[in-house]
Amino acid sequence: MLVAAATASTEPTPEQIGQIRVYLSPDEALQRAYPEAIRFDTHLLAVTDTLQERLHEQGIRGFAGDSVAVYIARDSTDTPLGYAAIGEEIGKYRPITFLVAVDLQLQVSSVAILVYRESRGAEVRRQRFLRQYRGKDGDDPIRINRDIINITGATLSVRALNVGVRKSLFFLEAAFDQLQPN
Amino acid sequence: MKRVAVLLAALCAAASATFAADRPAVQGGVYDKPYLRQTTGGTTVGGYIDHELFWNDKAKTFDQHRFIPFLFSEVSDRIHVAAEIEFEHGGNVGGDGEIKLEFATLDIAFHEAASLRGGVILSPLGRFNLIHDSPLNDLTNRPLVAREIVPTTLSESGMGLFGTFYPSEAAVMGYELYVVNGFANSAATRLRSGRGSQKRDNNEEKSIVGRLNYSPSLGLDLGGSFHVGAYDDSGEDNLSIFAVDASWNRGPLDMRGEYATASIDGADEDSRSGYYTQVAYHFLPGSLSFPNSTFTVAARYDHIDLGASDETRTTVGLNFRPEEETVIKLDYEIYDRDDDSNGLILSLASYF
Repeated sequence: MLVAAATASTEPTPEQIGQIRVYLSPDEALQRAYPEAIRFDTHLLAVTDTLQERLHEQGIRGFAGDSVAVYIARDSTDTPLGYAAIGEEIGKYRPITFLVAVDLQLQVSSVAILVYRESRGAEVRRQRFLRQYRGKDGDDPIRINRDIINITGATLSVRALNVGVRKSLFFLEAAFDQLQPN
Repeated sequence: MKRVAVLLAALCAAASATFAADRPAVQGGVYDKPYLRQTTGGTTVGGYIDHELFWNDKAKTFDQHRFIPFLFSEVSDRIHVAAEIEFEHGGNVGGDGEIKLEFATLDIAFHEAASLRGGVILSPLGRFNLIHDSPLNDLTNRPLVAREIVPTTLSESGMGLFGTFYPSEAAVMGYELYVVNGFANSAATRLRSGRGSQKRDNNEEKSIVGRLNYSPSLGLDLGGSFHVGAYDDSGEDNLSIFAVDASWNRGPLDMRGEYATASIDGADEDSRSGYYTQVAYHFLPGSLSFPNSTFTVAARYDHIDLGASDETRTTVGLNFRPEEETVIKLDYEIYDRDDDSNGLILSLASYF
C-alpha cells in the first residue's frame, strides 16, 4: 500500500473523525477496475533512495514506506490488462483509501474510493467527481484550478486525492519500467 | 394556509425514511462551508471574516464589513442544526452596523430526496444568495442584481423541503421549496428595504420560494428559482421574483451569470430586472512560496433596470489566494451613471 507520511498534529476526536465509510474492499475495487481480469499478480516495488529523490523532484512529498504493492490485471490468456495501486492520503484528519488503475499506456482508466473516514467531503467518492481523472498520465498537472474541478467544501479531500493520483501514477510508471522485458 | 399544509403533507408523504442526510446540491452552499474546528458533542465551529478599503470620490474608508461565526451540529446522522451569526460593520457600533442571525435551520432527513427544514432559511432565490460568502467570491462587491432584485442576503422565517437526486453517474439535480413569511410593505419602494420579519408576518398570506438546479456534469450548473406571494399589509398585492442562473468551470476558467426579474403589484415601479455576467481565470499556481496558492483575474458586467432609474457597472479585479479559503482582492469599478463611486477596492477575506 502507498502510505502517506503526513499526520495531523493532534489526535482527532471521534466527532472529527466521523463515520468510517467502507465502500469497496480491495478485491472488489480491483475487479470493478478490470471486469475482464481473472487474475491479479502482485509486484512489490522497492522504493529506493533514487526513486524517493525522483519523487521529490516531481514535487511529491509524504511517502514514508519502503515498498509499494502494484497489482497487474491479467485476462484468461494471461495478457496484462493494466496496473493498479491502492493508496492512502490524509484528507483533513484521516486517510482516504483509494485505488488508481491505469491501462497499458499508463493513462488512468479509473479511480475508486475504498474507505472514507472524514465527517465531511464524501462527495469525492462519486464518479461524477472521480471520472475527471480518467485519461490523465504522469505529464498532467492533476491540480485544482488547472485540470481538476474542485468541490467547494471538500477542498482538502480533493487536494489529497490529487496528490494520491500523482503519487500512484509515479509508482505505477516505475513498476511498469521494471517489469518490461529488456 | 390550508393549501400550504396540504402541500407540505404531500411532499412529506412522498419521502421514505431510509437514507442518510444529504445536502442541497448547491456547491458552496450552507453545508459546504469549511468548518475547521470541532468541539465536543458533534458541534462544529467556523466562520469567515472580510475587511475592505474603499477609495473613490464618495468614500475613502476602511470597513470592517463582516465577521460571521457559524455553527454546525449533528444531532444524529440525519438531524442537523446549522446557524450563522452576522456581525456587520463591527456590530451595532454607532448605530451603523448590525448583529443578526443570517440563518438558523433545523434539518431532518427523511430521505436523500426529502429533508424537512425549518428556521431562518437562506432563501433559494438565485445562485448568489446561496453562495455569497466573501472568501468564495473573486470580486469584493456583490452584483447589482444581487442587491436590488434579489436582496442578498435574503433569509426568511419558514419551513419546507429540500433534496438531491442523481439521475446519472455524472449528473445531479437538487431542489429546495419553502413556505415563508415573505416580503413586507416597503418592498414597493425598494426590495432591499422590504425583507420581512422573522417573527411575525405582516399579512395572513404566506409566500413560496423555491429553486431547482441541475448539473449535467461536474463544472456546469444551471438553476431556476422563484419567490411569489403577497407582500402588503392587507395581503392583496403580489410580489413575484423569478431568476435563472448558470455557472461553468473548466480548468483555470470560471464563467457565471444570473438574471432576475421582479413584478410588484401596487408599486409605482412595478417591473424591475437585472443581470450580471462574470468571467475569472486562475494563473501562476503555487506562487510566492504558498504551494496551494493561485492568482485570479476577474471581470464582471452588471446591469439593473429599476424602472425610474438604471445602472450599469463594469468591474475588473486581480486577487491572490495563498490558500483556497483566503483571498486578497484588488478591484476597480466603473459605474455608468454614479461616477463618484468609480474607484478602487482592496479587501481581505478568509474562512476560519
